[in-house]
Amino acid sequence: MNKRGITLVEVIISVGLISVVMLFLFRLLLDMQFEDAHTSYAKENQVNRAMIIKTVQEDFLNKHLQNIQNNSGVITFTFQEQTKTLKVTNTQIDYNGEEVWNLESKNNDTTFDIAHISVTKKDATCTPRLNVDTNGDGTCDVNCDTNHNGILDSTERSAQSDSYQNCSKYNYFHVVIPVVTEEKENVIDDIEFFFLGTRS
Amino acid sequence: MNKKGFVFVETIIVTCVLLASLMVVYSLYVSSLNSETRQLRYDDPARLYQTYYLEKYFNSFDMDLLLNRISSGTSKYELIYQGRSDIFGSSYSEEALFFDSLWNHLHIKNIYLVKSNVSELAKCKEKGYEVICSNQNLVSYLRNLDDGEANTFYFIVEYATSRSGGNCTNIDCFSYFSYMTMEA
Repeated sequence: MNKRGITLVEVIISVGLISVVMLFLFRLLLDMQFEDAHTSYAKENQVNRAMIIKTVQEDFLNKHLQNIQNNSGVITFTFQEQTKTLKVTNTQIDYNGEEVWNLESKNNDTTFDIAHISVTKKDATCTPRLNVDTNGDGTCDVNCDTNHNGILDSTERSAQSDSYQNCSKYNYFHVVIPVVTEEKENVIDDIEFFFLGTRS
Repeated sequence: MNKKGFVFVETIIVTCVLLASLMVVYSLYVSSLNSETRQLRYDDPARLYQTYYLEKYFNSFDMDLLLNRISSGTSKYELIYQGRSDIFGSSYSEEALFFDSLWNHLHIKNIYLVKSNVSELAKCKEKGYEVICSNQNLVSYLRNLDDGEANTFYFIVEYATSRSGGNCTNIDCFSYFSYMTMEA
């Protein structure tokens, strides 16, 4: 029978190996603890986000949106027959005094980034119709301005109305209210509204 | 009675088995977490409304042209891409700039038009779907969708943004997917 016992080197190696296992276990536990702490807030925010988007988008669908303006976190939606405002503070969105949603976080480290709210309006993107002189006599034959009856220079062309330009009949609006967590962008929680319709 | 206790080799073997089990558990945990995060980008409410408007926009032009090509078997699926003019017909000169602006602003990466029996398509066993099957993100999205009714199509939009929501690059690119059902 071997009665020498375990040598110091063997003990050190064993402790080293067990430490690796413990390290893995500890990391797993930390990850799970983090997820547990944040999941409930994240889910709450996702539900609120969906509600905000649904409420505003339904107005876009039903009330004929005409314009959107942002003034330091107060976003004004101009519909055909009424105007509604969406007030954004650090952790709250108030839609026209009808609905209020709060942004939840464990350490109050998740906020709306009011300074970076973007409102994009893309109206008609027009390119001038080119006036064509087909027979080389110096007068316009195709795409002519009827009031001018001649070849237009670039200044005159840029002053043409839509009827003399290639323009989409559509426009779109896109609003993005960014959300930051611990001062980092949290795109998955950003509130976005989008509208695409014919120009009024 | 054996009074030797654990020997060094036994300790190492037990530790290695434990380590291997933990690595398996950890990798399963990480992959399920990744899958959960990826699914957050499927049918996101904001993207759903964008897709709704995109589908209405394209439908106001000649989408039947593409749907008929799929119905008749001329093509198995259709891609809508920047510069595709046949959908717009004679309106292309009016719409080209607006369409480009829309495409870039919403960070659209691809628009697919496929038959709604996507469970077969997601298996990627049938020939002719190489472009779709080469997009692993799209295939995993298709696996999440239910089959639609006969003679319906799915209008699927893939949006791709960077972590900060801007234009995506090869190493910093997250795909969002949403779809609308279309009828021929």
